[in-house]
Amino acid sequence: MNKKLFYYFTLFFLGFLFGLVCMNLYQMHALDRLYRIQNQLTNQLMDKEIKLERLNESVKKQNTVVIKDLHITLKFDGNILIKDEIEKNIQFYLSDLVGRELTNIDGEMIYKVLQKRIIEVDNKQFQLTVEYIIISEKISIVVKAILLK
Amino acid sequence: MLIFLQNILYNLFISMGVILGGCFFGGIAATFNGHPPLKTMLDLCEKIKIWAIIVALGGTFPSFKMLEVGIFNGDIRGLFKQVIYILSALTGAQLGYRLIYYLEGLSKL
Repeated sequence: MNKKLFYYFTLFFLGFLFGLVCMNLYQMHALDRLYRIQNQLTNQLMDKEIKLERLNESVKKQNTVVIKDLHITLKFDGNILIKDEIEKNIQFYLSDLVGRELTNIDGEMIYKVLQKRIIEVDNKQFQLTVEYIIISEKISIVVKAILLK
Repeated sequence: MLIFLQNILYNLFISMGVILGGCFFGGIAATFNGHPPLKTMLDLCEKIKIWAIIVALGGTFPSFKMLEVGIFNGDIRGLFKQVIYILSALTGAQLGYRLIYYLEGLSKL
């Protein structure tokens, strides 16, 4: 009885290992590609951070207040991937603001860009409603997205 | 003669198995450790190639002993056999290495 149990257990274990090897062989190219992309993105990020640091230093010397960051808070009850996609869309419309002088920022323009705007993600339409905007060195925007039926 | 041929086949497949097994399971370990599996497999391949030959020959010393006997005692037949065994193990390791190497060729990196 015990011998038979060990036999089946060994069989299961070998099958498990075989499955692991097959799965690894099947997915290894994708994994390697993803690791490569991760490395590339990390390098790009480091490069951009260094550039940003230098820009900040030069801006400080000029004594002007410049928009440094854009913070979008999206209120959306639904799939997190769709939420990310909507956020990416909003980021696309407002990305030009970063780097501009604070005195040149038109708050009403930002409001009009987003208010009642309909965004299409995965063949579904979402309407945006701006709740509030805080304009400082870091622009904070709170937007609500509702699925249109 | 038959045993000699059988041993050649043993050496070939053992060294190939050491390479393939080491690389495949090393690849799994790399996946679990969060390292790129294909790159790890290729690195391992190069590292364990020489060890695969040694494992196939059953450790280095008996083989070197036979070489010594062959060279200094004039046992040319034994010497020739050992050389063929080493070559067959080398071929098996190279085959395993090539198989893993060509797997990388499928990649669209």
